[in-house]
Amino acid sequence: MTSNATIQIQNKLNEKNESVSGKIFTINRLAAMQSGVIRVMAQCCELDEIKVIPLHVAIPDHTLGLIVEWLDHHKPATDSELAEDTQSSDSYKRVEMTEWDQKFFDDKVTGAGSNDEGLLRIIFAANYLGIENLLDMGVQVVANMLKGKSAEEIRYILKIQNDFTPEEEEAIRAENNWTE
Amino acid sequence: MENGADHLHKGKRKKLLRGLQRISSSPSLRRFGRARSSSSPYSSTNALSCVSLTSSPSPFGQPSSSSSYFSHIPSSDLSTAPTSIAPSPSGELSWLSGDESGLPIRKIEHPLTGAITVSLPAEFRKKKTKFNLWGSMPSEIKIRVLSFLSPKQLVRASRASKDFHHMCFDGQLWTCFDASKFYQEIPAGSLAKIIEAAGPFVKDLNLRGCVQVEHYNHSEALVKACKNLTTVNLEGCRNIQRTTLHSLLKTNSQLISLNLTGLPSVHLTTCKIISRDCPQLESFNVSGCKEVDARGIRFIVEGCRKLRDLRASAIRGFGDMDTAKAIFETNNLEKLALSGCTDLTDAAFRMMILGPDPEFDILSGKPLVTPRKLRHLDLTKCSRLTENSVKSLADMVPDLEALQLSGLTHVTDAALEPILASVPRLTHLEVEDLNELTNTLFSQHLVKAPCAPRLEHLSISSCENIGDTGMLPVFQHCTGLKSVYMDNTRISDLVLAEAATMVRQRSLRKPRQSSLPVATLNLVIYDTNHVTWAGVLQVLSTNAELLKPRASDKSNVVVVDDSTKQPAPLPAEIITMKCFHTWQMTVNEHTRRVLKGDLASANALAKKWVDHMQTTEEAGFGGRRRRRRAREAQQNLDAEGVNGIAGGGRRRAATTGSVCAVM
Repeated sequence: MTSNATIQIQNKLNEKNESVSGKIFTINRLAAMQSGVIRVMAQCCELDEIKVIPLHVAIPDHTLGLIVEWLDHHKPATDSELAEDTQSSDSYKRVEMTEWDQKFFDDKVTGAGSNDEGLLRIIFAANYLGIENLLDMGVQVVANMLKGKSAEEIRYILKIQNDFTPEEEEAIRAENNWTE
Repeated sequence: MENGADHLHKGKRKKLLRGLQRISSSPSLRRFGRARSSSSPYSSTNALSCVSLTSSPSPFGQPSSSSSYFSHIPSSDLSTAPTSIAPSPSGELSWLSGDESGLPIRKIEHPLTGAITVSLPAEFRKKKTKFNLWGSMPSEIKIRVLSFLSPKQLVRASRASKDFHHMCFDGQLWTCFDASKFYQEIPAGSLAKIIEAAGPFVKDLNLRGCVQVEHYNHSEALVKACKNLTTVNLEGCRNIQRTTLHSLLKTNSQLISLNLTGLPSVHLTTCKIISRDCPQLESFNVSGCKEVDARGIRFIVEGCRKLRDLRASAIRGFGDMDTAKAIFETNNLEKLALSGCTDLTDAAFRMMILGPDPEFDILSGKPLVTPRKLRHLDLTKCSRLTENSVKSLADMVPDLEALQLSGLTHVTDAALEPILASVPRLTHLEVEDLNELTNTLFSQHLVKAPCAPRLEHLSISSCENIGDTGMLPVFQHCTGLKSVYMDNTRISDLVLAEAATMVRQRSLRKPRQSSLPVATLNLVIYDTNHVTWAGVLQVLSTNAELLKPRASDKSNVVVVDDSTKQPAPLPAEIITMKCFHTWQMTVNEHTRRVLKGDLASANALAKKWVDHMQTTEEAGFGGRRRRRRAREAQQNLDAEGVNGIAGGGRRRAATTGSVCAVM
């Protein structure tokens, strides 16, 4: 596999959904291999057989464009890096996000008028395409909204209804007093 | 993922292609989801976890055909997020729910194409939007979000709602339960509750220092809930009962790593139970368990055939020849820590390494015994050992990476010479307090040993005979050094200068990682009578020197291209020091400034320090004016942000007067 080869991804055309135009995205092959779905497709089918990889769940052009941008930026240097498993030994997860990643999420994903929806689209699309690293980053952005927040703040941020009775809540509060 | 795909054969590939065609011809997304998870050849891998569970809380990536991720979206929108149906600024998730959804389809207004309204800055808009991020997520992704929170945050957040509470105590979030960060705060009840909730999911249990695990009910909960533990750390849980510990060990036969450091309840019978019920054990730490003696270690070594890492510091009875023989016979141990085992005798240690009745090659005198697998050997303060037995390590431990012999006061050069010559992988050598060692060992043997370029850590603290003659060649040849402990030795400024040169040259040779300097060598040089502030200053000024090849640097270094007219880069690697305490503040502050890349202020500080040191030196000879100058110099230094230097802190040795040349 040469490092310059490219493959193409196409959204399934969806007449009812204007944001999905059936546009074809060209992406470096190695970069695209970060996606589990594309990897499996490319590995079991010769590229001659499938010239354009079709995506059967339509992702809005804007989101797919962002994903292609992210994949390009995180293009692994060699094949071997793809197999690398980044399991942390810590009890909870953490992903290293570079300045670029931070900017990517701040300006392009949650910015540009799409807010949380843009973030959710990225998370869903990364999940669907099996891009573990991007999924982890997206999820971490959500988790960072909750870090260091009290239960009340979390309710507000996530728009959760408190369905505990006052007695129940007091019991839990007493039990978890040490965390406050 | 990769492996799974590699195994796909041609037949399977055709099947997959057929599947793809079938999928693409079908308009139904639900069907797509189901087809993928049930018929695809890669259903056993977890990259496609997007089509997995939503209703049942099972670990990520476990294939499930119960419901599809995509069909979940609209229902979750309806049930938990009624607000999201109301008009929102930029549309619903119709692209996900697909064209077959029963919901009214909203067009997504693309933020760029559909800009009819003037958009507000993000922070204002965020509050107005009715879009519900959390409500739109399938629980699988919610759990993934929660997996990024620390245990404490999870417990605190659990009060938000019933659903949230349930999720926060989902077992898969607690596979590693590490209480070491909050062991002082968590009451036994909460601890028991979490462990009970997480129960069979917990694989990695760390209760280090949780003295509250004492109450019968709580510890019973622990035993009942945890049945799949592989790693257990109970270090310092001194209130855990023997019966609790024993039943925990009996129910967890998958244990791989067990740390029982300092538990008074560990007994000889505990060791018997472990040897019988934990055959998978690879790492075992019983350091400081007073009730255990070497016989217990023998049970473990004989029973757990996979044991690779044994730490039994301060355990009695290691003079026992049967235990030594058992350790010899397994020859499986890679780490062996016996520090403070004062009962360990020469005969027993020889038995561990060479076995009974070793044969020796007549010509070379080398032992004809299978080499040991040891990579890490800690014999610190095994005070009975002499060079007679330590010598037997020579040619027997080819894989050795770390050797700790501190406090074996009877060991001499003769024992270490053949060992150093036969351990090519050694990176870590501690020979603290070995008064018999001489300079020759370092200048003649260590620098010529195969391990010299690899050596990273060297401790010769309190080796009172070691001076410049021994250490100068070490800094010339061991260019990989990262930390050197040289307190209480006879080294002088010359060694510091050599160290500074070595670090400078190696930083010119290697490509740099970051534009700011990185500390790559730590020197411990307090209590050294021959080190003066001039020597320390030499290191400081080399640290703060721009990385421009000097004329004195050897020609084989990478030459920084001057033609670009760019300023010379900051130093890539610098030295940190722990030195005479009244100098330490200045040294720390200087290092901090260099690490920040602020060489100018670092140099200014060094200059003030020089003034201060010189004037206090003069003040020592008397004279009011000189003392006043000393005070001014002190004030200058304080103004630089270095606090706590005692006025007129006296140096320990005479200065050489080479200060001006250095600056």
